[in-house]
Formats: sequence, C-alpha cells, structure tokens
Amino acid sequence: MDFDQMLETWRTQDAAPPYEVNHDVLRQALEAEDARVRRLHRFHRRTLWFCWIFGTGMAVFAGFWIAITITNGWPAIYVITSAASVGLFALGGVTMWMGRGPRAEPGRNFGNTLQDEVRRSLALVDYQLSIARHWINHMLAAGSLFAGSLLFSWTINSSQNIPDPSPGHWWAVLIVVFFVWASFKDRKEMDKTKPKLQTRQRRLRELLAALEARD
Amino acid sequence: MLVERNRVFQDWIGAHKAILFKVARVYGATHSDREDLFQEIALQVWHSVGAWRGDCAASTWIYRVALNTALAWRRKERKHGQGREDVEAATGLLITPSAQDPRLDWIYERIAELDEANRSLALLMLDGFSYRDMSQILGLSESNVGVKISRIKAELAAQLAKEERNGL
Repeated sequence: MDFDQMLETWRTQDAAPPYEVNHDVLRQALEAEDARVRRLHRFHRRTLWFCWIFGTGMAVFAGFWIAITITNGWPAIYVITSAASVGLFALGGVTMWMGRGPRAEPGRNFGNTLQDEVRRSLALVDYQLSIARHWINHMLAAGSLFAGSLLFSWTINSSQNIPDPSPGHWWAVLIVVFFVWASFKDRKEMDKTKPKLQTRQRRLRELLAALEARD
Repeated sequence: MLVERNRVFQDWIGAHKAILFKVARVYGATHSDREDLFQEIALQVWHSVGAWRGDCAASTWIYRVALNTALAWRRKERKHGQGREDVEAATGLLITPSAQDPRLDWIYERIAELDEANRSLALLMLDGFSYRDMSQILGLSESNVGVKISRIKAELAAQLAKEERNGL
C-alpha cells in the first residue's frame, strides 16, 4: 500500500462507514439531554416569576398600607415597619435578580478556530455552572421575603388588633416551605450535574491553555 | 426552535456521521470508549447547532466541535482510566459491521501512535482539508500546519515502507 492507496482506503469510509448508528439510542440520549436542560431552565424561570409576582404584590400592598397609616394618623411605628417590609421585599427581589445567572446561553459571537470552539464550550459550561452557583441567592431571597412577610403581618395585626396566628403568618410559612423545597430540588439537580460540569470546565481550561501555549 | 435544531442536527448526522466515527475511533481506545465519545460529540454538535452562523462549511464546523470534544474527553480518560479494559457494557449506540478492512485498521493504529494534536492534523489531512482550513480549524498558522503535515506524511510513509515488506 502506497500513500495514494492509503488515502483511497481512508475515503472508503465515507461511502461505507465503519459503524452504523443506532438512532433509537441516539434519540434517547438527545431527548434526555434536552429534557435536562429544559427542566433546569423551566424550574429557574418559575421560581423567579413566583418571587417577582409575590414580592412586587407584597411591596405594593405594604406601600398602600403606609398611605393608609398616614391618612388615618395611626402610630408612626406602623409606617416604619411597613417601610422596612417594603425594603425587605425589594431586597428579596434584588437577591433573586443577582442570582438569576446570565439570561441567555453565551457563544453566539465566537470565531472559527478550535480555540474559539473551546472558548464557546467553556462559556457554555460557565453559564451552566453559574446557575448552580446561585442557589444560595434563593435562600437569601427566601429569608428576605419571609422576614418582610412576618414584619408586615405583625404591622397589620397590631394596627387592626387581629389575634395571632393570622393569614399573614401562614403566608410567611408558605414562602419558607416553597423556597426550601425549591432550593432542595435545585440543589439535588445540581449535585448530579455539577461534578461533571466542573470536570469538563477544568479539561477545557487545560485544553485552551495547551492550545494557546502551542501558538 | 427545537424542531429546527433537531432537523439541522439530523441533516448533519446524516451527511457527516463519518466525521464523528473517525474522530471517535481515533480518540477512543475501546468500543465502549468510542460509543461514549460518539455520544458526547453528538450532544455537543446538537448544542452547537444554534451557534453555527453558516460562515464555514458544516463539515468544518462539525470537525471543530468533534475535535474539541475529543481532545477534552481524551484528557479525562487519561486522568481517570487510561489503559482500562473494555469491560463496561456497550450502550449499543454504534453497531459494528462483521467485516472490517484490515488496511483501515492499520491506518487507525498508525494515527493512534501520533500525539493528540497531530492526530487532529492527520485526520484533517486524510479527509482532504486544505492547509488554510486546517489552520482555521486548529488555530495554527498555515506554515506551521505545513511543517507538521510534512512530518506526519514522512512518518506515515516510513511506516508504509516498513509494512510493505509484511505484504500489507
């Protein structure tokens, strides 16, 4: 076999590949990957929306309560606690916002070299890990919303002489249950994928360093 | 969006699956390694569909994704299990035909003897990519590609001459 014959032999693979793909197995792998990515994004989106709607609603209500308190000339302490509740709701929203991670997957403006491809893959892994990194923000947001709800509930109850436990207290408990559940689910999902992502991130960084050193 | 991505992916796999086979075979030591790597490459190609802007040929793009995945994957294997036996159950993703051309096996064996970066170059060279395409895919200068390809060719030619006596 000479060099030309070698090339000819090599090209026979294009017409008659050395393997056949089991498309059922491949489809299952793709569906599993797609389901994993979708599940993760859907979960984060829902948690975020819940936080926005609840936090904004409560902040508006607390603002409304401040106006009522001032209009009726009720003790100033209720204005202070209502304002503090608004602050806590806002803090919960900001914490959630900071923990939301990048809005879209990166990697749309990369070039054509292998290094660019490695950078694109690395950016994707960084993005996926950034979601894992922010679970603590969910807990902080839960804490802020819980404290805000509890404080605001106390404000309403005290100003209206409503005995404890009131519906406001149950709201606060509901928030804690939701966020503990959400964070637990989030953590469980990430525990499964994080080691794999971190290994891949390390390998890609090494590969990128090796490629750049080669140049 | 997903339907479109799946459609493009299916088209790519249909037209360029040989690229995935070749890369998986060059970088995977055993059948289960090759299946694992093939699946990993396929997933990365699937993820990359949205990033492809059409400013290079699909085959070039797939090669780049496949080589990136294989180079990164290979490092994992080296750290955690190089030389391990093919004892893991195969997933059945790749179906091997009963008869294989021994000359093709010989070529793959010779490529496997090269270092990782040169394996990429050997693959691209055998698939007829120009120096310019190779330099774009691998991020090397064209002159550097030329030097490396000359060495690979010389090495393969020497191996061919050596094996000629054995009647390959």
